[in-house]
Amino acid sequence: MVTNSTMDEKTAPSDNKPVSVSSGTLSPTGRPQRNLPGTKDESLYQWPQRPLESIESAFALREYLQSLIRQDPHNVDLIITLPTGQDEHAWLYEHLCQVCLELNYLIVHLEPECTPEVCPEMRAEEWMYYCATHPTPRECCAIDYLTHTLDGASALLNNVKFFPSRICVPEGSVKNFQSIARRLYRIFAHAYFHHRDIFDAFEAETSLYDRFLKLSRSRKLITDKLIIIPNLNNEDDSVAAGARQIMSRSRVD
Amino acid sequence: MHQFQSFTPSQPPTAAEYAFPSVLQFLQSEWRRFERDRNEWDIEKSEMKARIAFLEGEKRGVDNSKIDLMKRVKMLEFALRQERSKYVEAKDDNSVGVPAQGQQPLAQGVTPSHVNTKIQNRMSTYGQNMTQVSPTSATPGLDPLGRAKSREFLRICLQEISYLTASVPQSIASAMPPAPTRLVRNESDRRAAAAAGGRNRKSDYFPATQTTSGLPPPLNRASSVPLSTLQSFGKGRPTANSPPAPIIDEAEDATLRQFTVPQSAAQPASNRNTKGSEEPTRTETIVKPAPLVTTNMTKPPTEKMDSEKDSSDDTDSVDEEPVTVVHSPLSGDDWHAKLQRAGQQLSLQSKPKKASKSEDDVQLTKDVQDKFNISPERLNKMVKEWDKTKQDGVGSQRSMRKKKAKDSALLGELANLTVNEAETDMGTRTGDSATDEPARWRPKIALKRHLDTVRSIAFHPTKKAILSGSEDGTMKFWNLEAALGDSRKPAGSELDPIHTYRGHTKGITAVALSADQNKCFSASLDRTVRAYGLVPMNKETYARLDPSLNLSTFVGHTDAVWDIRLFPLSISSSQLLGSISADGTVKIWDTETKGSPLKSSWSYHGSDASSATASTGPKQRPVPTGLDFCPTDLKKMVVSYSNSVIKLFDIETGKDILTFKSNETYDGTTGTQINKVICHPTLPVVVSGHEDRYIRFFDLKSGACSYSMLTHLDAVSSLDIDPAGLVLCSGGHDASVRLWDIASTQRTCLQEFTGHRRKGSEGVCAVQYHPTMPELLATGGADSIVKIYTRC
Repeated sequence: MVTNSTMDEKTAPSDNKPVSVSSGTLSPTGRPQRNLPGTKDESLYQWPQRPLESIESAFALREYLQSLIRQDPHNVDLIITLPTGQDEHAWLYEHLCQVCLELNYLIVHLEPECTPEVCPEMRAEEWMYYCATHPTPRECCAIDYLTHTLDGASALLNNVKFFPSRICVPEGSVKNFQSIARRLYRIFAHAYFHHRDIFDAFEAETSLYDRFLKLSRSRKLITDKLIIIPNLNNEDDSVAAGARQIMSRSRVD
Repeated sequence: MHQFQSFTPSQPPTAAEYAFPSVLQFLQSEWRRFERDRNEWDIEKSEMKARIAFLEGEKRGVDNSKIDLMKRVKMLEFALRQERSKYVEAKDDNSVGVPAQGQQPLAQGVTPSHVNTKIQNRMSTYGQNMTQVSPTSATPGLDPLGRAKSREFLRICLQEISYLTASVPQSIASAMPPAPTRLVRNESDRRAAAAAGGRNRKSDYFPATQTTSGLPPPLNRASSVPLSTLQSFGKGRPTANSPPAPIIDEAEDATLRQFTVPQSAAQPASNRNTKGSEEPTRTETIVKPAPLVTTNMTKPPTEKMDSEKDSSDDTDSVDEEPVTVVHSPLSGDDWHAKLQRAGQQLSLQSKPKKASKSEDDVQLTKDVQDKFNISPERLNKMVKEWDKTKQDGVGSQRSMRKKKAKDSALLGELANLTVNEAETDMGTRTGDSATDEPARWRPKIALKRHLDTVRSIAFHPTKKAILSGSEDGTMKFWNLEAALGDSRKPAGSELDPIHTYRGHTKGITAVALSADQNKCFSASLDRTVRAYGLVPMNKETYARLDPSLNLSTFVGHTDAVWDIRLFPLSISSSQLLGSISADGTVKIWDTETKGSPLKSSWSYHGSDASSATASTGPKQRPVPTGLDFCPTDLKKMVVSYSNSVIKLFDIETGKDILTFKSNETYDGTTGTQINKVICHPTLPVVVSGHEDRYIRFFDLKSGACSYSMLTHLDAVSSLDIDPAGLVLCSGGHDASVRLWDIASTQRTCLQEFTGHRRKGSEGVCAVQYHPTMPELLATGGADSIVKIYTRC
């Protein structure tokens, strides 16, 4: 199933690929998979999607995941499906790293609006959260909580002690996934309940929450009772789909 | 590898259910690991082979030169012994004649008259001294007391010389051109030869040897490599500025010390000669019998030849260097073929050189043999005899190899001698080895907090702190003081950034840091450049967010911004920042202005030719790929373009001043574009790193390419020159970091290490020296890690 869809995807980017790209350098492995200095916006990341098996670097899973997301961030099911023959936890690890990476951009959007004056406390619906990145949990304001949590999560995911390898995850470190996911979820929750327009715009562009939620649910990272954002699928699907259509149209243009 | 060690032990508990997929997966991962290991071994093996070939070549060269030197030493010893016996005989005949002999050549020699009389006065006293000393010095091996005396005498002589050279420098200075010491020595030799009068049959040969061997090595090198501006910089340094006289004295002191140690009877006398050869006015006064002057004359050419040979060996190794360093991780066969070819080249190159060298040798040997009527058999016997004495009479017939090992002691002395000479002369070789030793960089800290490729790094100009910008859209500021201060701390220890700057909505391409303004800047694919306030060094990682840190956003580019550079100087309330973008423009921003920071903007043809670009259309317009301000000419900046052209612009007017001849290798694709361009901190030299794996050097004045070298296995991504301007550091997408000795003409690779793991087709993406702390180097790479290296 995975191979089929990647085959389908493969043809897509090559169609709207700019002409200039075809005359790139040929390293022994074909076109180099990098953005040379001076690359224009529309030519960024324009290299053919490769099946996971043919990626030889130490970051094969990450490259594969990122190329899937670049192709279509809204194809959530495909993105969260474990590639055949891969380690479940390693795949989860890469996903969480990617969520952290993309949450940076959500915070960038939140920052102008979510100031200490507007959100002096970290709240989501009726809940209030203490910032756990400090030796003793503190009552940080929302934006501090968000950045601290994100920085803490990136630090934990990059910690060699817990995650020495990208190919397999030690048994003892798997439980960290749950705490990371639980905290990252609050970032989404705060954005949803207090900065809904930003959340919606971001979600329409990236489907990050959708990806994160489906991943967390299917891997039992977050228990159902902690999920406080109402299921937006029905009402939001139409909105999101519309936004998506607009997005994709503007992309083609 | 250790991840698998941790993986394997955890296997037994779960091994109860051997599910077929998991077994398969395990086997697959194991197989992949073995493949990877095998690849690595292959690479290592080929590297080792290349190293062995290179070392063997070097060893051969050294062996040959050693044998030559031994022969010469033997001849010189013999000649000296002869001379000394002659001298003793003459003295026996007429002991009073010594001062007279001393005066005679002096009268022929030049120098003002008052110096003359001075020398005469002094000489007469020393001449008497000498008559007392010389009988013992003729047989010093038997009389330690006599040796001590002669040593004392020589020291007095030396003091005298330095006194004279210091007090009457003009007499010498006027007689000599202000040229390198080697030339001076030649001159003095020639004059000595002239002074020696009728006896010098040798002067027939002397010019001949000079023409064959007197060619300065740097010229030689220059002929084998394209001209370089740095060359004069490299070679001129040790000699040209230094006054010759004091250095010679030092060298003499050194030689004196060394020469008094060995037991050989010849040494004290030969020392006298060395001295004489370096100081013309004394040559005539001290060295009385003319033949001594001749033996003396044979010496400098010998040295010259050796040093020339050394240098030619160097050239070999440099020519080899790119080939030696390059290893192919992909196909071993290809690599082997390359290696073989390189080996053949090496032998081909070395053969003619050897031939010409041996010609010289034969000539020289013949000359000396003629002179002293030494038959080849006799010479061989001499060498053998000396061999025997060295080894306490263990059989004289032995293999060359064994002999070499035993000779090492004496050779060591010999080497000392040449080193001392080299110090006064060029000192290139010793200089190289000296810079080579402390240049070993070792990884000290790994900063692992980024989530994607680290694209750019910037050190704080004065503090131990670094800024890193990543494709993950964040810029992090790291305080390295604690981690660098604690030498016991393991390299793998975790360090958190003291601040994470967020603001861009796409990956960051470049960062810059201005300590004067207390600001930092980041450029991004999201078309903006942002300015932030620098956080204090003692900030805690999880402190409250300070909204005042977000200073301003420079909006103006209409496509991804690919690089930014701060103007090297901040002039009172104005700090310029240059940026380049895929929209084809170069923009200069004044970072202190509150209103509209944009000062100027121009495209490929400069500011005045914007109408010309309209016809070609923006699509075809070349895109800037790199920029740098010229520290040697602060009004100008260089910009490299995707069509491999480097242009020099006037910062104020945006006028296109000069187009470098850098696009000769451009083939119409991005595969030959320039990825990085930097200016040398002190010289008018521009260095460019190319996608086609080359690094090229350009003259800032003429725009001509002065040197070009193949440096990496994949595209060159980043360059930096150390603050002293002597070493170029390059990072490539082959994941390696290489250091190049750009002060020498050969540009040898001083060190190479694997910097970062590859992700996609990217490896090392940024290299940076600390601007003021020469012991710090940092690299950033596709593996999301920033590494800090220190030099021990």
